[in-house]
Amino acid sequence: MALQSTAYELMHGSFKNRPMKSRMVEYFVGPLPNIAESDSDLGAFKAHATNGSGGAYAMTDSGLRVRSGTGSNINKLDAHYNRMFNPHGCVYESVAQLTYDLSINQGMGDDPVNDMPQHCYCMAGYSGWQSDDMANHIEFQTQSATAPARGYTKVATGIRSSLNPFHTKIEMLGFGQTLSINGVLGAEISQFNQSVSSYNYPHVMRTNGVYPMIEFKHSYTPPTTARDGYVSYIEAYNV
Amino acid sequence: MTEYTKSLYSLWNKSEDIMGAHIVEFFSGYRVNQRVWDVGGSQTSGTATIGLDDSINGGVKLATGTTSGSTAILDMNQTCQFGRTSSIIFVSIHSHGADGESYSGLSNGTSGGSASPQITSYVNTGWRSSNFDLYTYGGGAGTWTSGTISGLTSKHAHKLEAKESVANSYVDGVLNCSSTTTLPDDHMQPQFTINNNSATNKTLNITYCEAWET
Repeated sequence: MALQSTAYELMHGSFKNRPMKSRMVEYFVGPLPNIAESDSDLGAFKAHATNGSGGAYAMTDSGLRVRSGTGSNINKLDAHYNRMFNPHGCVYESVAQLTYDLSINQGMGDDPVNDMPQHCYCMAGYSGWQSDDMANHIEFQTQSATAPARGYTKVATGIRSSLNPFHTKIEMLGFGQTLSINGVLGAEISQFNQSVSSYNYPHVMRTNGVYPMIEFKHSYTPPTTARDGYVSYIEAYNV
Repeated sequence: MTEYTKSLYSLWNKSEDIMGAHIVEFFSGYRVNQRVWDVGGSQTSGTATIGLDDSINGGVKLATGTTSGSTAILDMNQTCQFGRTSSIIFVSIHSHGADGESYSGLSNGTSGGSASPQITSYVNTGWRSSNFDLYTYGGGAGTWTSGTISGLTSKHAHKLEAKESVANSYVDGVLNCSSTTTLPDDHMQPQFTINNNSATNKTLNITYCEAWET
């Protein structure tokens, strides 16, 4: 029997278009996490404890659960130096869920360390994290190591965080970057809104590639209770 | 009538058809999915290596290294779930415009080379042209069919079709060449191989692979 359509055509249209570029899709289903907790492990993502220690990974009815340690703690999943995505032309999408006293930073980056040199990500926190201004709402942040170094650019979306699963879409394009939550455009960082605030200016991303990443961040001054975050879908692709 | 979100099955197939084997692979993330892919094992020889590539649109990279005669082979370790009439799409790019030898497509056997049932895109400028040739093997013999499209060092979307009476090679949606002889006569697996034929590192990057029963 002949196929009605291939996955290639569904994603990319005609074969006569330029060849499809890199893509990554992870569903976080099944009984075993598709992550590597050590260099010798296999997996679609590498797990890091970029701050503090601890963190446990398990598959649940809500996808992959990342459980923090009981102290100040950041657990990150990324493609670990396989930087196949263009910071001037790629998209990141996910479905994730946070819990009280935990925040999720996610998007594209190029290094596994905390406060990575280049990144573009959505920051969603829900209460508990009073030392940071993103508690209870979602912000959009970029940083580039390209000179002139300007530190972070951070824009509040005006979209409140919730404890429900939410869809994140980040577009890194030539003119700048955008963030949409549950289909609603929340923020744009580009030359077009440069004058909004001195705190809001575009970053020229390096030409180095980036990879998808998601980190689960326990509060800076946490209670001695482990917190859970969930992720059930991540897709990244070059446009 | 309520409209539902469509399944991949319904997008790929007519409901009256029973779908055969189908794989979609993006070759991205931290590690090659070795639950599916054999990244070499005993078949990869010399200084050859296989791994995901840290570059934009890098995909998986097969590299021979610099020891002459080194071969990198990426396949499913002879788990041949695709019948003799199957198709494959892959997006790939070679590092070199001359010499080296690669077979990319569907093949039976884990050794690579020309002596197994297969339908592959063949590249070896040492004795062929710089076009993408079509190689088919079946019934104990093989045929190289001259391709009409060149561009080894550019990224292309290849599609190979093994049908009952013809094998077709398409490059970027354009018919490259066809063969009606020595069509594959056994089940196959996706397989990508590259040999350097010299003391020069030759690479083959693959960013997408989709194979299915035709």
